[in-house]
Amino acid sequence: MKKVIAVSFFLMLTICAYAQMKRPVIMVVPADQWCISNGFATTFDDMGRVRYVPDYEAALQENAEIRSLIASLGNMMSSYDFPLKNLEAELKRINNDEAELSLIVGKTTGAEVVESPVDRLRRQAKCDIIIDVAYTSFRNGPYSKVVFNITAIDAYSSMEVAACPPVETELVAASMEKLLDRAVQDVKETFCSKIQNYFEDTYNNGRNARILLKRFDSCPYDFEDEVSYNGKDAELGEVIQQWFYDNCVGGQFSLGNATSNTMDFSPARIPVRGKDLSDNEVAIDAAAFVRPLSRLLSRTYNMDVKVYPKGLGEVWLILGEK
Amino acid sequence: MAALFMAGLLVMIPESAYSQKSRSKRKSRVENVKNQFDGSYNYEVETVGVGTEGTKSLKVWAYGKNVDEAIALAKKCAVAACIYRGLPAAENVLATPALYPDPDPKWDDFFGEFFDDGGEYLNYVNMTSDGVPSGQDRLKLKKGGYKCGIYVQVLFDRLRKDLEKKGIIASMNSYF
Repeated sequence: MKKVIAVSFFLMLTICAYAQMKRPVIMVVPADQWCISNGFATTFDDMGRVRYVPDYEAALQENAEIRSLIASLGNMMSSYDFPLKNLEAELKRINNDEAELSLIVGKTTGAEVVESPVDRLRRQAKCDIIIDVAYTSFRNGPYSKVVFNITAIDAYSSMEVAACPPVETELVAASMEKLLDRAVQDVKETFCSKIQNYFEDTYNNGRNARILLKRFDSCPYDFEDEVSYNGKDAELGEVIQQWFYDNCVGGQFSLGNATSNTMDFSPARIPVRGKDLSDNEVAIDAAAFVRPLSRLLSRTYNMDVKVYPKGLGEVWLILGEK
Repeated sequence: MAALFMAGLLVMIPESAYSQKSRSKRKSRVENVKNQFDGSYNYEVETVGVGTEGTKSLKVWAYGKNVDEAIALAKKCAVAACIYRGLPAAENVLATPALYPDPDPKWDDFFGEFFDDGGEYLNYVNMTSDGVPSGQDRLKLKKGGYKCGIYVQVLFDRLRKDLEKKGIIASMNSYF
């Protein structure tokens, strides 16, 4: 009897451990089109062409409607027990971090905190899934109307996770906040069930990831150089592709851009679970997925590889140096 | 010994007859629920609007031998539509996917009890136009019986959460 209980307990633990996948961060972001048409964008001259960059901070500070829309969407996802990362809070945190880091000095020598330009660049609002929202409002006599658009996009593979057709909501003498909340209620189940289907697909068929390989100019090989692989001659790029065939879920990947200096695997279906250093089954991200490839290249071809994680589903490998 | 055996047999026969009767009753109840709600012909659902905070406003048409039976069935059908069939799109409201479109036979007993008269399904029907429907909402059929349409508000979020808690449907969190 004790054995049966112990075996059942072990099986339950195995199932629980097996059922894990890294939780993506989801954030609601106003669409570029909305920011530009509402005057929340900065412009710069890009070789004679005017470019717009959305100013999310100004949008969230000055526009009450977009704040209330984000709150309604947060409420929607909370009802599915999946809280969102708040864009406004994240922007504030980044600004605070920046201010505090510049003020911290060592007690003994007055040393400053070391931060590379890359560290500064990477200190930005990041998420794994972007919920892109936009709306247009109209008035017709006593009627207020909004046309609401919502799309969820995988931040790494740029693939659409969930999208709903535009929803028109019309009420008599209603505030914009009320109309937007109503529009969110109208799309709620359809939108969330699509997100859930995406999670299920990711769980069963692997995560859509982007893996970008580049080389430092000090790297002795480029991706078209001939190397030896299992006693055969092959280009380095072919060896890397073979590794992806062997390790992606069902060998599914697309090689978007391949030159002697770049290989861009997007999307590659990477497993959501793998082994850690202690050989335990754990939830993994793209960086953990490519570690064995980095080791293979370093051991077999004696080249250092820099693994540069960009998030849950994106990693860059730069060959030649750490 | 023989007397003891006879006594045991006498006790076992009614017990077995009782459990067989109860099993067949339960089976017929499960079959009844399946036939009622799996079919696509015996009730009609129209989305009237999305209510506030996770509710759905529906108009449901159901059939019955008399008006009361049709009304009671319409309430069951409103909840059943959310679970098995999904709700159709309406003007400015997107279609709502079914919560449990591919029923697993292992939950047949649960849903048999759930949709019993006075069953748990009533917890999710918040508000109805419970008075006797009139005019176009109450049609007397030529073959006998009535087809009645009533307005029902279903507590959709609560229904989904309760089905998730029982492990009948997967929650968004179950993959992490």
